[in-house]
Amino acid sequence: MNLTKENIQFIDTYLDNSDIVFVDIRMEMVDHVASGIEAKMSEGDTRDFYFIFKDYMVENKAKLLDDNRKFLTSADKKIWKALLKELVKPIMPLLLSASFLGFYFLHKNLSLEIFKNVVSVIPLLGLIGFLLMYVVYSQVKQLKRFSAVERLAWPFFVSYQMSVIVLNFSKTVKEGYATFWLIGGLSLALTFMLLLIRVSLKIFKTYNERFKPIE
Amino acid sequence: MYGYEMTQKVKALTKGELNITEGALYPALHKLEAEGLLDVEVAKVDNRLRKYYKLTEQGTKETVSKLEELAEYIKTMQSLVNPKLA
Repeated sequence: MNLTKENIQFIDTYLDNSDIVFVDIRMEMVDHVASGIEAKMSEGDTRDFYFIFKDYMVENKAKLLDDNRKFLTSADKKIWKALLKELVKPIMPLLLSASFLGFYFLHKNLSLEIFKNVVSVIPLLGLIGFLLMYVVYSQVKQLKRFSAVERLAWPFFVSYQMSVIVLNFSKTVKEGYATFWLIGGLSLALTFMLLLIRVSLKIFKTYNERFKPIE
Repeated sequence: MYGYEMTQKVKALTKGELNITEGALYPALHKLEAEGLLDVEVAKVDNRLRKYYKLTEQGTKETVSKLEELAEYIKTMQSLVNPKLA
């Protein structure tokens, strides 16, 4: 016996209210709970759906919530692994060299103070990039809340902090050899940020392809 | 295969001896997916979305290797517990 659309919606709302907010995690739990209830009905349980559901949740809710917590760890792992893969691809040295040359060119053509002011916008680039992607996918493409998409905020925060550290270091830099360290640090921070944006685009695309056609 | 189907299959194959809970199964599946050993497909079935898992090429190779490791381990344990069987 199959559950109705209303029954499925009830399970979904219940899990959503139990703090399982990400759709990709919840949909799998909804299917698991629904399959369990359907099996009980097929085995001859003639009680109303709500009574079977209540008993099922009393027995299994703690395990489902534990699954939710572990899923988020997997989502984080997936992001960092994708980022590490990007770091060993040929695009990494290319981006790093291009950033270094770009900063070097800027430094040669601007005074040190103006150069420092110009590069002070770098930390914001990553955050703006992430926000733009998030708005496009959630508002324009109407994608729901997905775990890996929202967990991307953490590595973006790390990249923001990286560039802030480099900029704090820049305050102590005077003309001379130290400017090379500053340019190197900025190039590394910018490369990390650009690779993160690349990883984010891939993750957004994966979720869009996986879930959009069947919503 | 999907999650619930796996729990039922394991139960049936082991005649109820092994009962995999959702709290153990799904984190393991998600970990294997994150490691690139499993591939995922989502389909709409009976008014809801269902996630199907299948082994990737790397996953198939890893399974063979892990099964060989397990067989070797069991053989070693047998030789320790009962030298006549080894």
